[in-house]
Amino acid sequence: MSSNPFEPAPAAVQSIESIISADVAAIRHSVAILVSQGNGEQGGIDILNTQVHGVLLKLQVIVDNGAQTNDLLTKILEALSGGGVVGIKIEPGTPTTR
Amino acid sequence: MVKVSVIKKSHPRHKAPSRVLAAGHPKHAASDFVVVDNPDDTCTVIGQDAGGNPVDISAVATLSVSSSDTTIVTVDPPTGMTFAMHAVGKVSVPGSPVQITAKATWNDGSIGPFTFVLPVDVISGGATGIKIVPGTPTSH
Repeated sequence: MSSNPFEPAPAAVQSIESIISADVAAIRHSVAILVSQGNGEQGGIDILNTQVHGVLLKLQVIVDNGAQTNDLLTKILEALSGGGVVGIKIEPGTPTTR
Repeated sequence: MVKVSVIKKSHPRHKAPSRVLAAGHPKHAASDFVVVDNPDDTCTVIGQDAGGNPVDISAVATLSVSSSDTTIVTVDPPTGMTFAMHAVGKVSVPGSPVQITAKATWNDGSIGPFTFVLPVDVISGGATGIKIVPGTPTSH
């Protein structure tokens, strides 16, 4: 953090990648949760490459406070990974007439 | 590339969502699935994590399914995480859907079992013909 409070803190750019099961909507949702929990920092997250379900996800985060960048990334991945199954759901297909 | 903005909690335009668990979370009641009285359908059962994201459980769990009224909707024994259901031909009472229950039991017993109930309303389809229904004869 800058010693001068009137100067913007230097931006930190870090990236992390992981194989997860999530889509862009889930990422947005998780980021919103993290922000609501006070884990967000001003800045932006570039989702460089993400597809649904079990593909490589690359996140690049640019935040004002580099010290919390890894923490934020870790929490995003933890949120996206979900931590295990907590329920099931029936998804009906398209009915076909006999 | 998709850009997601992250801002501080105190920012007034970005109040945190009050409903962390959005629609699709397993604790939400499922919406009724509506079919006409003569279709077949194949259903898939998926796991869901705490964030509501789908999780493939086919390798770790065993599925069983049942119907609350087999005179209206029947279900076939599942194959993996899919099963077929069939509307027999009789419509359900409005407001009283048939309950299709899926139960996933973990093979190693580590978690679960989890159940999910899908309400199914069976309605009549469009007219495909007509029929004369005689009443009770009366003497004159």
